[in-house]
Amino acid sequence: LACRRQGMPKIRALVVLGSGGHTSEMLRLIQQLVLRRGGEVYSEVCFVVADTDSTSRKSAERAMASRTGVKLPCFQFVTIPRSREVGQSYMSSVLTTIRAAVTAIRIVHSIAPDLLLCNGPGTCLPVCIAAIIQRCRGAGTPTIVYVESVARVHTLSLTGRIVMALRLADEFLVQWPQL
Amino acid sequence: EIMAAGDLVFVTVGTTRFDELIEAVVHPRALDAFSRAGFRRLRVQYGRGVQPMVEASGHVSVEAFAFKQSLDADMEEAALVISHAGSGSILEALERGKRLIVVVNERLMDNHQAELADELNEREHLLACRVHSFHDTLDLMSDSPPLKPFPAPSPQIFTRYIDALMGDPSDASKSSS
Repeated sequence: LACRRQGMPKIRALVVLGSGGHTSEMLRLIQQLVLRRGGEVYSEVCFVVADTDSTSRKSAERAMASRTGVKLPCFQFVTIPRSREVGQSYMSSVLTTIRAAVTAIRIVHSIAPDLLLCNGPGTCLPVCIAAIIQRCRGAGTPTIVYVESVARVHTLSLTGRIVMALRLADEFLVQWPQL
Repeated sequence: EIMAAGDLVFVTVGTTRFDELIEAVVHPRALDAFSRAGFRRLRVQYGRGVQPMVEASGHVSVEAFAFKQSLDADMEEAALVISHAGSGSILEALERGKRLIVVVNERLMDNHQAELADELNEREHLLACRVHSFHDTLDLMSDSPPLKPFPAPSPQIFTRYIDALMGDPSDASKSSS
């Protein structure tokens, strides 16, 4: 199901930023990917942040800030409702995740990304769901890549386990041999 | 081997609140250990926690702040970094080749952070401990075996992986940058 773009090197990426730790890890992961070769391959990056997240956007802007000789990709930010607060019950989390998914479906449809990147915060679940739905509509995209956080050495995160169980990702990457 | 050059100890708790670590780090016992190890300055970033009360100590000067736009300069200047177990702080210190002590906050409910700290401790890239063993760790710091340098990050691994996945044709003839 992965989309192979023959002769069309420009790729639009949708990147989900979770809170604090997830954001800094994701930015670290994509910096070389996005900023190399004059920013021409991954030429458009759209960051998804939770509506209650005030710092991820600033971190991303700093990370994408101008370096000499590097052309920046076009980047933008969109927000979705937060899927789950810390300590929120699982029952109500299902409802808030669904609510977030509705917004995510609209976003994924209008952005039409080639690639979806996420690394574990609850925020990425509705976006992954929306991406699957987008594919079911016959678009064939996006390719969904889930990277489990480097902080997960022995056990997968809850988000990771859900992504695995529901087969939401095309590629599921872990960073430690124990996993 | 990681050698400490310079006299600054930098303590960071990121965006969290970790009052027990902050208290432990400005405690006379800690200041004493720093002084014996050759450090002369202590700089504490205390995040969302309580500003520490510091008793003037002859040997080590102490300053503290809650937040800064960027901790890059402090990280760079430090000869020893003491950090909470957040992966961002840990990786930043290690990638700068800094000697690092990680203190795991046992009050956190979902403590998967401990996994990373303990794993890297086992691989001898840093010293990991808890608040209750922090002063002991400091005392033994000079006697512990030298820490192993952390491998330089290889972002090209992920980059090439994604390129291959996306079937990026322009990568075929180019070497990685």
